[in-house]
Amino acid sequence: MAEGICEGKGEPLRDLDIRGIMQYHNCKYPCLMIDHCEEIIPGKYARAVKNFTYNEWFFPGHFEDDPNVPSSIQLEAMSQTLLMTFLTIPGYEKAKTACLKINNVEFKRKIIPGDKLVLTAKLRTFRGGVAAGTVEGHVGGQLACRSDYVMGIPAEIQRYSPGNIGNKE
Amino acid sequence: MQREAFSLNETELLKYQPNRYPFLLIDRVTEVVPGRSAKGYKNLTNNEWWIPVHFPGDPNMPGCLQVEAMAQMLTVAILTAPGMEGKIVHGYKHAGTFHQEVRPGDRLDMEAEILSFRRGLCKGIVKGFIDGALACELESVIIIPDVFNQFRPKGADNKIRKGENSHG
Repeated sequence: MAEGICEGKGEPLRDLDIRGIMQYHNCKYPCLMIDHCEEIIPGKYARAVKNFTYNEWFFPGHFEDDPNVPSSIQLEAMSQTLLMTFLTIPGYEKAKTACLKINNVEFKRKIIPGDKLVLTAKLRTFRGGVAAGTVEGHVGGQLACRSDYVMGIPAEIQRYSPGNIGNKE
Repeated sequence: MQREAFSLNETELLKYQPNRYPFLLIDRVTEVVPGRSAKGYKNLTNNEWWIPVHFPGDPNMPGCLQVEAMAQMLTVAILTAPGMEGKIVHGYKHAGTFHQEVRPGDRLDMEAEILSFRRGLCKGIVKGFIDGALACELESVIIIPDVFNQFRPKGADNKIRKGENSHG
């Protein structure tokens, strides 16, 4: 687990199924890319699982005779895991988020239907509505993808931006 | 006739199974003995078409799709036999039992066994497990029309069509 710059905020959560995830997350079918959260330490860390099955909308087209997971889908699954680290902090549930920067993206292996992607997200900082962190995805114990993210909560950033500070009551 | 067991990933499965998205409900076949048995699994995820509607706020796999997934695993055991690749299969009779809910995030392991396969008519049983616990069972009779129709008595169809049968 990352050396905690952020203090853990809120109680650790374990074994969140889809109904639990929906309490914190805005994404819905067909853009919800995590199935199960095994462990979340709000403000710090999250571990989630995404099952891949042939019965998903991108497989018939990518590719017809050789179904495998598009890299953009892997990016989305990784970013949604990072979201779980800070949307679980009390007060931020179901906040609308935006991706600000993606860095150092690597895709190490092909992921095919039937694979189970285990995603671990570490939140490095979370200040003024801006979150930075790293996510890794493993298939069968092997590193499949990794990326650094900067994500934001636009409403929160707006509140802290210089133009708005004078307007604060 | 005993043949060697082998496994299939999705790309290889597409050669044998005529079903396609969004109705191919098997992801991997871990062990198949053609004409005898098939084992494999389907992953369940939130990104499937029935999730928003069955049911809103409490998604679980519809029983009819569990039956379909198990029946498809039974057909894999037949369609991998020589000369049967990609043949169309019809369900004739299904009897299913459902022991627990199958939810996104689960992996449905299925084991199909053929009891008899003669003249294009196949009887078999399939069991579905989640984490080793029995989730669903199916007793099934399926037909390969291409083969089955070769053995049908010729007069039977015509009689029904002409209305000559007693209860017509």
